Amino acid sequence: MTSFGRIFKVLTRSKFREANLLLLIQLIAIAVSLVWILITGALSTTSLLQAVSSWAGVTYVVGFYLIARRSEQAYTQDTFRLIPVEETWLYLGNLLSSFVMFFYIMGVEVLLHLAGIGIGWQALRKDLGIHPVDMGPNTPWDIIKIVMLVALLVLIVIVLMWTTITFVHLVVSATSNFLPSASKRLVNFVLYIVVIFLVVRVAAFLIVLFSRVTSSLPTSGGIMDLWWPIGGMVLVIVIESVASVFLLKKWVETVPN
Amino acid sequence: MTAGLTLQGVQYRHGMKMILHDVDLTITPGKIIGLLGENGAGKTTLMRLITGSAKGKGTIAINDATVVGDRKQHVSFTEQLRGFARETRVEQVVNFYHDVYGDFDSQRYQDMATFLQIDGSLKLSSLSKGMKEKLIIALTLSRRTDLYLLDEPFSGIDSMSRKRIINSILQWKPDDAIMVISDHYVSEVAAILDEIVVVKDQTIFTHEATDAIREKYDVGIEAYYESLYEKGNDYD
Repeated sequence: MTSFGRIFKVLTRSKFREANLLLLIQLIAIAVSLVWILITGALSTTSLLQAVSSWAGVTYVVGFYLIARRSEQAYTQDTFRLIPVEETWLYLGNLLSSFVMFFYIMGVEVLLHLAGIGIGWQALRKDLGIHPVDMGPNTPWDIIKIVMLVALLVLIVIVLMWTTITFVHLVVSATSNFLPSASKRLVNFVLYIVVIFLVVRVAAFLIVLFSRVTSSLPTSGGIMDLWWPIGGMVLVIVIESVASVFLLKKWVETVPN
Repeated sequence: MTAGLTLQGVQYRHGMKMILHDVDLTITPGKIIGLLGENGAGKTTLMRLITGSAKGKGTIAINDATVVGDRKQHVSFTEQLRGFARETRVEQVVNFYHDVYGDFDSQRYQDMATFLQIDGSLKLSSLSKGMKEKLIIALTLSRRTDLYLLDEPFSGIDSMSRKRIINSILQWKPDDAIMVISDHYVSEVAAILDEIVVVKDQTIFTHEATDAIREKYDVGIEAYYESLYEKGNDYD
């Protein structure tokens, strides 16, 4: 059997290549933006930060799409499904590689932002009037806990997005094997409606959650309420993962040659 | 322990339509099998069921391995490399095979690549159909495994190369391995086949040794195969 390490390696490699291409395109876009700013005579020490911030959103969205596309191919292409490995390891290796690649993109974005902040630090201090943060009654440890909890929440939300995309894809793929064309279209239509409804509901829930986190930042007591939604999302991730592996084992076929 | 390939009561439906039913087949180690049938008869589906790429009912065993995950270790299939981006280079595909298949023999691949004149630096997008088929054949046969499934491996390959590849298959196949070749060029592969399996009417219509066919009916394999589709044939 092929080891988990090797599965992870090959699944990451193709995503890594695409992620690097995307980041290269972003760097070119930033360079072009800076040249344009120079031509218009508005170049300043904060221009790099502005250019990086402008393109970061596009990079995240495109990066998420590219990784999701590559990730889902692993479930329906013989190139990956013929590898002698249990479906559970294929699923976990794929999920982990998607996650690592998205964090790689996030890491590069953070570095680009830090470079932009570093170059424009004096101007930023002056413009924003940066001074020591008033932490109120909280100790630095409280603040660290809050930051870590919010980071964990973001991490869980990203994993939930991957597992949900995969689950929906596998349900559509599995139903298409045994339903006639007309029924397939109906099932897909119903599924898309359910997914859109769920995405809107979850997004609304997360917006409320983040606004609550933001408003409770000065006091760390209220933020501990986050553990419940985090637990709920972890439960959904586990259920979706178990269901996806089951679908892979029983019903999901590859695209024929 | 039952060596070889065994299918018992295999059935497959797709979109409520029956594709294969009551498929019972036993192939002993070392044999080269011609899997024949019209377009859409279910030859590729049968191969996909064996690899686990298609999900059907019944029991499929390769050297006693019945679970799909275990079975994959014993089978090498000519998949069309669709999981790779078009700009992937041939050498990167080879590295992929080396990484994921413990039985991949790099030296054997190099020998075959030299024989088939495959350039490792080329991108997949720049390969002609024939060259891509040669690459797929080289990758599939470079694994040292028990069962090779070649699904129409020579389509797109020029007739000269086709003959050279067919003549070389015997030297590339491990002695105790089974090789199943599905192809339309019956006359060209007939010389190396030990047995033929014909898929017709959604099941295994016939499974016979090629020597027995020649002896019993005094005809070539191609003539025998074509006669199965003619009304009132004498070989039922």
